[in-house]
Amino acid sequence: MSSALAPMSASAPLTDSQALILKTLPDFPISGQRCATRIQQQIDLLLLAIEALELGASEQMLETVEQLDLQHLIKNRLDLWRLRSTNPWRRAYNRTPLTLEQAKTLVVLASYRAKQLTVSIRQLLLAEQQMREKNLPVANNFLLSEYLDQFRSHFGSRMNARRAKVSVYLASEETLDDFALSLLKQLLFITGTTGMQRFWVSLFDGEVA
Amino acid sequence: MNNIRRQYSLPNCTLILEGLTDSSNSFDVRPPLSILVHTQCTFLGINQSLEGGRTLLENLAKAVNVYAQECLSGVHRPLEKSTEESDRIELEALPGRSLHRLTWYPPTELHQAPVAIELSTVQLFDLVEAVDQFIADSQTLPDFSVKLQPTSRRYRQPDEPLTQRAVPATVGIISLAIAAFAIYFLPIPTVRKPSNVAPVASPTQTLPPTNKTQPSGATPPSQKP
Repeated sequence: MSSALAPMSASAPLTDSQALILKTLPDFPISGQRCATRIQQQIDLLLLAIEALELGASEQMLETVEQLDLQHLIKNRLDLWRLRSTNPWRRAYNRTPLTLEQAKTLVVLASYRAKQLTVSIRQLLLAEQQMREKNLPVANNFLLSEYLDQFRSHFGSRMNARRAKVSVYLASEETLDDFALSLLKQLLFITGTTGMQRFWVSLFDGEVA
Repeated sequence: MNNIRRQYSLPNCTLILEGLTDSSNSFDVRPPLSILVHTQCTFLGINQSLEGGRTLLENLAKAVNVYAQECLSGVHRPLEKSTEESDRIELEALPGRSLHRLTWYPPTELHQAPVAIELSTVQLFDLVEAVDQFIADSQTLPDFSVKLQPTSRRYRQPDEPLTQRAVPATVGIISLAIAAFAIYFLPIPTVRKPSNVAPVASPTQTLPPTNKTQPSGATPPSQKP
């Protein structure tokens, strides 16, 4: 009970700190203050890669939301799922676009989780490099195969196979593995000093005038 | 004036900046490096290194920043023309090998051949991180910054290549041409006028609807009030 009450009583001064985190991400002149579906898709896919990296990732994400005092934007698991379902590839596609604030929250969340996972992301990418140098299939490495298996099962169970792009990935294991590795590389760049800002800015690449 | 050396070390990449401070406060624990004299960037396991002055550092920071963003979004943005002078830095992806090539064109007065270094993604990330740490360091070249900004819409690659997008239009035009060609050979139908213009039978007269069910010439309905 006390843990549930503590944030409630301290919510007034905390709203400033959470606003500060979101304020580190600039706003861009886009039409209608709502996100393009491409942005929503990109954020959700990176969160999916994070889920494939660690067990119990969704609990960790909710914990991170609590640590960052962003509970007013993501109250519970259902909220998180609803925001992530704005990815048009999802089976349960939620057609209400994300507001900029919601998108920023997910970007902050992804960056913080990715930072925590820096070591394993680096390990996996080094393993990938070694396998490629030896001309061996990447899935032969046990660390990589674990990540790729997880990613494949998450992707297969949540994405809508009737979407053309999704069906292309689901048709070939190799294509999906390459896709999973490309997401892993993007996660690596998010872990850096200005990774979060760069990730946010990169989402608007090709969207602004 | 004090000599200052700042080192940003990552597992695969080390960026060393040497310079002077113009701070008069000699008790400053970490005086700001405001005049850059020498830049050196080395990679673990690679013999070649980048060495130069402030131009090299500026070009390196700009190129790395743009390229890191490109790695995240996949939208290629050509570097601005202003970097075409000495110490030009180029970064490009090597397709199919998940490697990146960094090319440094040393100043012409040095008469050196361009230096090309192949970096893996992790090595590239360490370079990005070293540069980011230097930019985030407020005590090293405080006047230097690199702006993060989204790439303009005009550099965005279309989701489908031009050849693929042109297929429906081409098929349409070709089928129209074939149809037109085929129809060209069809004889023009001759207009045959009806031989006897006089009507065979006079058009039937329509009766008022009330009389429809009753035989002609019947007496008016008796139920009428």
